[in-house]
Amino acid sequence: MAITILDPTVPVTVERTCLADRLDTLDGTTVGLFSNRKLNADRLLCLVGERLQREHGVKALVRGRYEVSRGMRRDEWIGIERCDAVVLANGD
Amino acid sequence: MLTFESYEAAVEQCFANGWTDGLPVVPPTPGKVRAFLATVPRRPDEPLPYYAERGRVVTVEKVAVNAVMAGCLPEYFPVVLAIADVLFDPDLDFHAAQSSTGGVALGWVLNGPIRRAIGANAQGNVLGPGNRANSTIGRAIRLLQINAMGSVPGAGHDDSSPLEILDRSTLGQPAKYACFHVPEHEEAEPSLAPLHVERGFRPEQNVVTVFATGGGMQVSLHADQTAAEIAESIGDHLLHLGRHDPTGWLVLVLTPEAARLVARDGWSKARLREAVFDGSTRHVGWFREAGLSVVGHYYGARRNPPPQPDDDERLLTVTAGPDDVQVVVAGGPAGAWAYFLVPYGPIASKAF
Repeated sequence: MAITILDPTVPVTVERTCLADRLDTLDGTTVGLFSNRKLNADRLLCLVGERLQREHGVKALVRGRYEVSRGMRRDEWIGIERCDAVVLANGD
Repeated sequence: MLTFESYEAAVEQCFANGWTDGLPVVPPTPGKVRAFLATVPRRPDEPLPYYAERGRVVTVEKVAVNAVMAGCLPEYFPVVLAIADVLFDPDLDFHAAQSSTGGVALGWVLNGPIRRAIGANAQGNVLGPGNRANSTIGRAIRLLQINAMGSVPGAGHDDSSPLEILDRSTLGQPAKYACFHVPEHEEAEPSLAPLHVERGFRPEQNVVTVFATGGGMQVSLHADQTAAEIAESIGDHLLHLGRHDPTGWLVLVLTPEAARLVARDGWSKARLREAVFDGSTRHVGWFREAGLSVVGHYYGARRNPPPQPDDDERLLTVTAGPDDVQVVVAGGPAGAWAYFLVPYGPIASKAF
């Protein structure tokens, strides 16, 4: 006897967003470095920050952290208003 | 909807589609799903909160489909849906349970009159197999994770499922089949308030308390003759577990025999919590003198500075505070045991 069943899966629904304006240069900018708290994420960001300042003229760094197992929430974007660009690091 | 020439063909196609936990599922026919949906005052197309990390909008109907597949009876569905509501709460963070290498399993404590109405087992082998409500409610949540939330296992053998792999558990654990299911045996020791009452709900309310856990350990309390000795034994195990976490919690399952000793000595769950907390709290200097790794015993390094060997006066605790030791009475009538479950994410309750 034929049997009909329902699909238990759920398709991905992507929230459409647009890219922020790209920077022409990093020279003189402020860059945010946000870590997901995993081992080595902070270390990686330190190295990135040093290089951005030494080789690309980045003027200032803003550092922050967010919870390891999910996307950043609004209350974790501390200091974001001062940043011209942001780097997120997912270490492990 | 998909149509097959036989029941067996539908079951086999669920395997082929990756819609299982490795065991056969009950084909979710429209009639069965309707029967489940009829048990709750919710629209089938009602979306649960957006699961942003995986870009999914899961509806009440999808929860019902997975509950049918798990082998639930319709009257279990309010419990399954209440657990799902907690799981999708945007203020909590259950995503690690979907994805982490830590092999995280979900768990739930069930309180209130619905335990008896659906025949959930709060007694012998409570954490194990053998009871349909316990096993299939937990399995429904796991199937929901796999099918609707994308927590598909198989890291290292990427052809194991036609679905995209997200669950990167390195080892996994048996509780990933059907969760840690803990209906509380509220009647076993009436002088000890049940968990949901301790968490602020009324005794007559049905409540699920949902948590993500890395696993647990059983502790023998058979040599203990007093409530204080029970607390000392549990605290001593926790002290050496290497899971000191200043933001953590514990679910501590206490069997009726052990609970009887606690009550006999006039202790409340609150006093037991305090004693377990005190018994598992030590200064860094104590760990150093005992030859134990301070950093190895510290689990909260992502949120707090890890202790250094010379932080002698700093206290290491297994939970944020005594109130975060969640005591549940459950298990068979014979045997003085405790079983504690350690955190790997949040813990939260919901009445339904």
